[in-house]
Order: sequence, then C-alpha cells, then structure tokens
Amino acid sequence: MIQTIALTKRFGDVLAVDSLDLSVEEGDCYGFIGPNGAGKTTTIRMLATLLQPTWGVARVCGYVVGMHSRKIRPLIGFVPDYFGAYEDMLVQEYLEFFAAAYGLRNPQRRQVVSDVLELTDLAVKRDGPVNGLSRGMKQRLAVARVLLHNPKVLLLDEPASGLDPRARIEIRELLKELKRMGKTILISSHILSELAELCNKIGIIERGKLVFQGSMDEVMRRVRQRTVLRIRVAGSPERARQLIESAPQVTEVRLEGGVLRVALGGQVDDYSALARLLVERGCNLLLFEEEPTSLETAFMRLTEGLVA
Amino acid sequence: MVNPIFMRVMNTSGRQRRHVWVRTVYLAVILMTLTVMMLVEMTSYRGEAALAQLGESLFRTISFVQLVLILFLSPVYTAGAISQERDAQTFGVLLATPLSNLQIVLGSLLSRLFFVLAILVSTLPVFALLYYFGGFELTDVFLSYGIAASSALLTGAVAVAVSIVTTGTRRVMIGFFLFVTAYLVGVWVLDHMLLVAIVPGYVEGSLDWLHPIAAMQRTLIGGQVVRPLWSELGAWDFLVQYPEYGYVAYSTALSVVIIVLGAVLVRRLARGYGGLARRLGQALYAVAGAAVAVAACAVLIRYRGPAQGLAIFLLVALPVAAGLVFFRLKRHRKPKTVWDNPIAWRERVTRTATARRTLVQFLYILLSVLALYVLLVLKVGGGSARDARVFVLVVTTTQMFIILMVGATMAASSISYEREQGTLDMILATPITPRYFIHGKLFGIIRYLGMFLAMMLLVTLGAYLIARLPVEEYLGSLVPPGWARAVAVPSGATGYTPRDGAWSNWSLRSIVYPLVTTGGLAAAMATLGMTFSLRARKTATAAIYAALSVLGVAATVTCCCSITGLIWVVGPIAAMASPFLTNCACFMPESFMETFNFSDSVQLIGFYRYFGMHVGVLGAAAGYGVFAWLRVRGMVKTFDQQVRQKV
Repeated sequence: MIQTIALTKRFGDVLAVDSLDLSVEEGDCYGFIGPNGAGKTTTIRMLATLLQPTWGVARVCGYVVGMHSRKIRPLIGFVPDYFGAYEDMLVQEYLEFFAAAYGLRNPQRRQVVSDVLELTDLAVKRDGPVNGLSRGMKQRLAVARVLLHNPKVLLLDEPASGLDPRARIEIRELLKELKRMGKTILISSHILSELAELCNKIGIIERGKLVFQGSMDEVMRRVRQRTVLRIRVAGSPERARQLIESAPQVTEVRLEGGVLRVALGGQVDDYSALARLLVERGCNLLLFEEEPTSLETAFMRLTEGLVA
Repeated sequence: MVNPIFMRVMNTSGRQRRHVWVRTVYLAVILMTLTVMMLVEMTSYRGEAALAQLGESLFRTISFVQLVLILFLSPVYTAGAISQERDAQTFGVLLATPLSNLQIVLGSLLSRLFFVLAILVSTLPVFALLYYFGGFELTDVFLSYGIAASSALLTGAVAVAVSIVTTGTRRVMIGFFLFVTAYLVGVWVLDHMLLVAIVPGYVEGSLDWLHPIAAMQRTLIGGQVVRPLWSELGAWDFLVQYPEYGYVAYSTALSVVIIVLGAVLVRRLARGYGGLARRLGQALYAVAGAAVAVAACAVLIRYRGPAQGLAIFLLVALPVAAGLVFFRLKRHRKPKTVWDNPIAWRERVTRTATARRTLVQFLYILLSVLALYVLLVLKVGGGSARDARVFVLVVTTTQMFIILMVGATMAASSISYEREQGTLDMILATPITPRYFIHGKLFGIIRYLGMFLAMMLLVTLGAYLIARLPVEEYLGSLVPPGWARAVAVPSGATGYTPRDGAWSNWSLRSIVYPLVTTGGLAAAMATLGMTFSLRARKTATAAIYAALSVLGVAATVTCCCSITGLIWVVGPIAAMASPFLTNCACFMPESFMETFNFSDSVQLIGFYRYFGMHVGVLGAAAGYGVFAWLRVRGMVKTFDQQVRQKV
C-alpha cells in the first residue's frame, strides 16, 4: 500500500531523509518511530504529497508521489502533528468544509458528516465552535476529518502528542476501531507503549535512515540479548532462589517485591527445565513468565539519539 | 549591563527584509520628493535670496513628508514589540527571568525605536544640504526633528502598551494604523469642528499642540507670524501660541506615563489578568463610543435645537445600536451550509462572518444610506447641484478607496493566514487543485466585495434618481423644513451659474462607470494582494505590502492619468484608467473637460461624450481584467513551487 525506494529529501545542506526503503502492506498498522528531527514528519509529508522528494520513489496505493499526486490525495487521510484550526468555523462547518473539498455533495455530505461525528463521539459538539474544543476533542475532530472520504490509507503524524491520558486512550481506541475497519495506518508517535499495543509493524528511523523495519515480534527478538524470567512461589522465595541459582543457564537472580527476576545467559527459548526443577523440588509456582521486552527498550537499543 | 532584549532585537531585526524595504522606501520617497521639488521649483528661483526661498520651500516639504512617513512607518517597527514575543511563545520565558518590568518594557521599546530613529537620522544629510541653501534656522531643524522623534516615541510607547494587552502582531499592526489615522483625524475634528461648535468663543487651532502635523505646520510658519514672548504667557496660552514645543513636551510626557504604566502592568496582566485587560479594553471602547455619542448629540442640539437635534441623533444612533446588538448575536450563530466550492465559501462566509467584519459592513451600509439622505436634503432644500456633485464625488471616491483596501488586504491574508493557522497543509492534502484553490479564494473575495460595490451602485443610482426626478414632490416630507432652509442657495447667488451647477444634466453613465473602473482595479489589486500572500510567510508582511501597493498604485495611476490626460484627444480617454478621474468625469463633467482643455470644442466634447469615455472606461476595465487574469494564471502555474516549498 505504501512503498518507498531510496526516498531522499534534502533541505539545502540538511539531509532530512536518506535513502529510505519503507514497505507497508494493506491493512497494516505501521508504527513509525524515531528521535526528534529524525525525518519522520518529512517522510509523512512526502507521502501526503505535501513535499516533493529530492530523490527516490514513494508509492501510495500504487501511485507515484509527485507524478500521480492528484490520484493519491483522495486515497489518503493526513493528520499533521498540529491541529490546524479555522477559528471562525463551527464543528459541523469544519467537517462539511473538508467533505466538500473531497468532492462530496449534499445530501450525502451531511450524512457522512453525521456519521463521522457519531463515530468520533463528537455529535454533541456539532454546533460548537472549533476553537472551543479541548485538545483531545480537536484531535478526534482531526481524525473525523480524515475519515470523511473513506480513505484507504491514514497518515497520522503524532496524533496523541500533548494529550492527557484520557484523551490518549480515547484516540487509541478510535485508531483500534479504524484498524478493525481495515484501514492501512502509518502512525508516528513518541508514546511507544501505545504503538506497541496498536501496531503490527514498526519502522525505526534515525538521522533520516531506516535502522530497523519489521513486525513487532521481530523487533523484540532483535533487541532481546538475554531472557529474563519473572517467578513467584508460594511461601519463602529463598529456597527457590537457591534452586534457581544452581541451574546451569542462570546468570543472575534478584528478588524484587516477592518476585524473582531470573536472567538467563543469551537468548533461551526453552526454559521449561527450570520450571520442572522447581516443581520437582516442591516449590508451588504462582507465577512463571518471560519478562516482555518493551518497545522503549528496543527503541533505546536500536537508536543512538542522533538527528539529521 | 546592556539590556538583553535590546541586544537580541538589534542583532536579529536589523537584517529582516521587511525592515530593509521600509528603510529603502523611506529614503526613496524623501529623495524623490526632493528631486521633483528641485526640478519643478528651481526654474522659478534666481539669485541668492531666491535660493533661500527655495531652501525654505524644500525644508517645509521634506519636514512634512518626513513626519507623515514616521507616523505611518513607526507602527511597522514598533507594533509587534511584545505581541511578537507572545506569538513566538517566548514572552512567558522572558517574564520568568530576573529582568525587571522596566527592563522588559524599555528593552522592547528602545530596540524598536532605535530603527525608527535610525531612519530619521538618515535624512540628516538632506537637511544639511538644504541648510546650505538657507531660508531657515537651525532651531527649525531641531524642532522638525523634535516633533518627528517625539511622535515616534509616543507611537512606540502606545505600541508597547497595546502589545501588552493584545495578542496577534497582525491585529496590533492593523489596529495601530487605524489608531494613528483616527487620532490625527479625531484631534483635527475636535479642534476645528466640535469645540468650535460647542464652546462659545473657542479659537480654532487651540489644540494644535496635540496634533503633530498641525504643530509642525506652526513651526514652519512660526517665523512669519509675530507671537508674544514666552515669558508673557501662561501655561495654556503658551501651548496655544507655541504648539511645536507644546507637542514635544506633551508627547514626551505622555510616552513616559504610558511606559511607566506598561512597566507596572506587564507582569500583572501576564499573570492571568487577561480577563481584566479585555474588560479594560471593552471599557475603553465603551467610554470612547459614549464620548463620541455625547459630542455628536451636543453638536446636533446646539445647531438644531433640542427636539430636532435629539431626533437626528436617534435616527443615527438607533441603527448603530441595532448593529451592535446584531454584532453580538452573530457570535452565537447556527452552522451554515457549505457551498460546493468550500474555498470560496470559507472566504465569503466564515472569514467575513466575524463580529468585526460584520460591524464594518454594517457601518459601510449605514454611511452609504446616510450619504443618499444628505443628497436628498440638498435636492429638497434647493441646494447647489455643484455641492451635491462634489459630495457624491467624495463619497464614491471614499467607497472606491475602501473597496480597493478591503480587496487587497483580504486577498493578502487569504493564503498566508492559512499557512500561519496550519490549515494550508490540510487543504493541500485534499484533491483540491491549484486552479480550484486560487479561483475559489478570488471568487469568495469578489463575492464579499460585491456588497461594497452594490452600495456604491446604490449611491450612484440613488444620486442619479434624486438629481433627475422631482423627488421634492414625493420625498419632501422626509426632510425637516429647517434643514431644507439651511442648504438652500442664497437668493443673491441666482445670477451665478458655476460649472456643473445643474441638477438636470446628471449623467446616466455616472451610475455604472465608477463601478466598472473601481471593480476592475479592485480585481487587479486583489490578485496583486494574493500574489503577496503566496510569497510572504507572514500575513502582516503581505497585508502591509498590499496596503502600500494600493496607496502606490492609486497615486501613480492618478498622477500618470492626470499627466497623460493633457495629451490632445486621447488623453482624457486614457485618464479613465484612474477610478478617481472616472468619478470626476462622471460627476463633474464640465470641470473635468475644462481641466483637460477641450471644453471649448463642441466636436471634441461630442467625441468624448459619445465615444471616448466609453472606450476609456471599458478599455481600463479590460486592462485591469487582463492584468488580473494574467496574475491568476501566473499564480496557478507557480502555486506548487511557491506554496509546497513553504508549507
């Protein structure tokens, strides 16, 4: 659905995006992450046909950006990293304005506006001024705006930036709903835990270059240098600790709030022997799980904090 | 320690392109004025004494030009003093530093004022040259500079004060231009019309010390008038007799008061007293409005007696009050149906639906209707047709100027404002094409200007009907007899028939032609304004360029047309390119033909009336139309390169 080949953008002496090869399949929710100034916004703006690439090719729905931009625009919904507000418009007018910009005529236009207002829980604010909305509501309105023409691809640049926890959860739920509807979503965000929950694919960009691209499982596998298990037993954990420390693969054991954090040497996929050992020696296991590697950890390991 | 705000502004602003342009325009205007004056006047002066006369004449002109330029250029530098910090969201950071209130205010003021004073000093060589000619004293130069500098100081101090309580540099700057104009006109009206009418024995010019231009005028003619010695005068008499010193003292003292007030309020207002500032602003508007209403009522009662005066006052005040109520109600409106061309809809409906623009439209309509009523009074009262023609000429020329200004500045903000608001990206990501976008914007602006043009048509059509129909029979009852008597031509003047003195030959073409040339030029100015909007990053820059372009184009076209108008036969036809001259030709045809030296030839008059004028007006409109079309084509062609590079 989205493909870039050696996509490059240069602003004078600054190389903002450097030979980016990106691939997003239909129905994917692609998390695009990277430090500030890494080139995420520039990439998204090129895909949204707002910037002309300096070099390389970007394809959206099979059309080439710059060559078939007019064919791409009806197929995409772009939410920038700020909320562009028409101060003097009401919510319904705002949506009708963009619906008209996408060529929708009345009465279909009015119906579509009502539908997206319902979908985004903004129906009660229909007659209110856009400027009177809270930041979270404005962001929902921005999402409502890009749904008006039922696009195949959504390009969302930091949609949850600056929102309070409740608004973030609301946006996340809305995006999950869109994912369920089969939209292809390219989303950049700094709130990595939310991307982890939402996305099936991740691309990490640094200094304009893509340092990693793949599924969530792949990224975790790539960054996981050792396996850490979380174990809790009934009764005193000291005996269990001694047993675990005697096992051959174990390199470190720490007790944190009644839970034993057990580090195994290297990437160990089969640690059933350890569980068997504890059970056979009479320890009643309450918890035995692999500690998940967070996206934050992956991000920190894969990037160096450099900007373009 | 040097004030850090001062240093920052000095280091960054001096290199801004806008400031370089302002300095260039300032010096260009001064030098052009000097060159033209010297070329025109040098031929008529011979000998040393004559050189002194020339020097005096040039000194006067340059002093006036310099003062007017300073009054209107100072806001460009000073208006954004603190609002620019607010816009860039650096004001809060500044307030959190250990800088004192006075340091913040003085740093903001002096850094901007420095540029104004720098351009003022840049004309010193010109005055040095003129001093060599003689004809004026060194004291005159000091006074001329003193008035200009104290005006700049006052402008700067007010700019900082306004900036403290308001956000949005563009709003501050536009408001400031209006403020300077309103102040200059207001003080003059107060001095020469209101106080003369209200206060018995009041001497005109007693308030010259409040008015920079009047004070400058008194400075320049000071040597020719015998004035009492300073020591013999009391404080008030001193101000009246020596307004140039009075103005410098008054403006400096007022500036100090404003600066101190600004320093006291700057942190307080920022600490969450925004509501207080707003209420303060509203209270000031209310007090100013009430003062105007009371003054107008007092003048009317004095001239027309209590019953009639009050009736007239209510006749004007009630529609204004209704307009204000309507203006309040507009704030809580229902959603409007969006047109199929959303760009045009946005430009025409929502941008112009703001309370402020609604009020402007309402006042414009009200004044147009009032103008027609004044004309009716003149006709019913048996007033002079020439007076009526001059009156309509003034009204339509004012309307023309408003239309050009509104069109150009609205177009100038149409794209750059979207860029500033961050909405341009979203529009550009939709399937809207550059042609659709540009055409939509222009269509919306033209639809908005349609109301203004319709009011112009109302005035020209109404004037024609009032002039040609026996309205005194049908509408005579609408005019109080006292008013009719007041405007009647004195019986002793019956034997005198001035040019354009007949009601009966009010021309049919005067209904449409002013509209045609004004409409054509407005379209051209709107496209020019939009070109600025495409190129400029900031709306304020685009709006200033557009406003200056309107002034420049209107002045240049009128000057060129006046000169080419003197060319035999074709001249008056070419003169129709200027809407002002078209208005002159329509409303004062006899004066127009005499000015262009063909009033003696019946054939030429016939040629002009039945052929030349039509060709001139239609040709001018077509010319402006072609210019607008070419500009639109150019904008559509370069839209992607210009806009997509900037967004």
